[in-house]
Amino acid sequence: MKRRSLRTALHAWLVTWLVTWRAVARVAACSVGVLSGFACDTPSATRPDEAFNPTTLTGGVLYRWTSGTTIRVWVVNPSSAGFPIDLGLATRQAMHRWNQVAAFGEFTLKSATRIDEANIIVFDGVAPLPVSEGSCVFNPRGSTGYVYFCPGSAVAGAVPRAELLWLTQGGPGVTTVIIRLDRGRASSQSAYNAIVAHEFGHALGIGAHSDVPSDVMFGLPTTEIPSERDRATLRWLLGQRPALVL
Amino acid sequence: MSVEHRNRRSRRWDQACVRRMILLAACGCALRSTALAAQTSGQRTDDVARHGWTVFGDVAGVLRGTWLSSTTAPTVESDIGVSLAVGAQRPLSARTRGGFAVRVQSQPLRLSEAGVEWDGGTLTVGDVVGALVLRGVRAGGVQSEIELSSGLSLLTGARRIYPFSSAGTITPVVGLGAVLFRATDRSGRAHRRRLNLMVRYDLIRLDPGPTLAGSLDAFAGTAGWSPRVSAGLRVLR
Repeated sequence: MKRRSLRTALHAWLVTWLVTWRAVARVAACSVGVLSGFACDTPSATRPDEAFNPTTLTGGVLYRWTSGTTIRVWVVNPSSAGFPIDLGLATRQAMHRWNQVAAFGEFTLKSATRIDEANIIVFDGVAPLPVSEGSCVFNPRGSTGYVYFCPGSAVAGAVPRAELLWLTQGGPGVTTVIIRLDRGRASSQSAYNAIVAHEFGHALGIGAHSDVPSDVMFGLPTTEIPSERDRATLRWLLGQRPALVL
Repeated sequence: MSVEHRNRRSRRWDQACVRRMILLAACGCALRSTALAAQTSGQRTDDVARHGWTVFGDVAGVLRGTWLSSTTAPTVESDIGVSLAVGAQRPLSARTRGGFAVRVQSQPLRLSEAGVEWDGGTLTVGDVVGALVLRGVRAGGVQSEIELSSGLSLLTGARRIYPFSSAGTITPVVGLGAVLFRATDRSGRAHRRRLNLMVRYDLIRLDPGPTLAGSLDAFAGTAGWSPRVSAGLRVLR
């Protein structure tokens, strides 16, 4: 009688196991491992090698944001009347696409609710510069897209940080990076999206241009979706010790 | 029943058990030891209803755990968290009970790489499991039970963090638990069972697959079972 009850219990147990039948062999191995002091394996990952050197425009200086940073982005006049091209839309799409590359939450691009909480300010060239110049020269030289930040002075024992750029209205804020765009030179929203995505790549740490036309970081970008090469390069640099923190 | 007949039955039992051990490996050993114990002692020591369902609730802490370990990518760990559960069990035999439980566990995630640490949000896992409880050994008035469970986990929160971002939302979970409670009071009388100490070792399957966030071959994901240890109190009603 007791054995019949035990068999019933065993059957109930096996039915339960059938839900996860693939687990049986694995759990058996894990159980043995636990008893013998070895833990079961956990997923593993490795950062890819960079597809291109991300420091060619900075003279070898690798810059990026501190890991885990929430980067708040403010767009000045996102949809100016009279322009068919929407800066706000292009910015949101670029933020979303680059956020997907930060697989470990190394950064999170989020929209700021006020300009004085923005780490990055995006503006179109028709608007005035929203910050005062730092110790380096602001010189867009007529480019369609331009990323601006200035290295701060080094403090002994600490990684140098980018300078805080003072808002022209409203005090110091927390802005360290400016992205200037010229939508008047973009032929379409799609072309503009590609330029904005490219500039965000610079703002996140890729201080270089790719020589492959299918990359967002190609010098004359035509795609708005980061390629595998773009992703690999950013993922690689997110694991490197920066020489400058934005 | 002759001794020879008993021996034959015993041998048959052993053969059957070997087959079950192949299926259940270490879990099978626990079943066998319990079965042998059942042949020598069938006396119940707790006041869990002989028939009908017993409802219980668990309040436990989840210990730190590692979800992703790597030397060339961030290590993903969870800090101490909270585990709450409710469930019900009913007797299947004098020494076994079967039942189910619904658990919710919440833990903060912490990532680290090259000496830098950052916050990964909060991982919340909901489990629905079936369980088989086996009477264990009794010493000094304290009775032990072994609880085997399996079911499904719902992973929520921290979905941007690898490996949770690439793993399925619903994933298998299996567990092995131990429950301790006072069976008799100082005078040797049966003690009404209310509070139990509980320790659980669960394994959640994380199958991130070969791709990560649409990036082919950027990361080499290795499917595995991630351990999760929790300990706390179980209250029966």
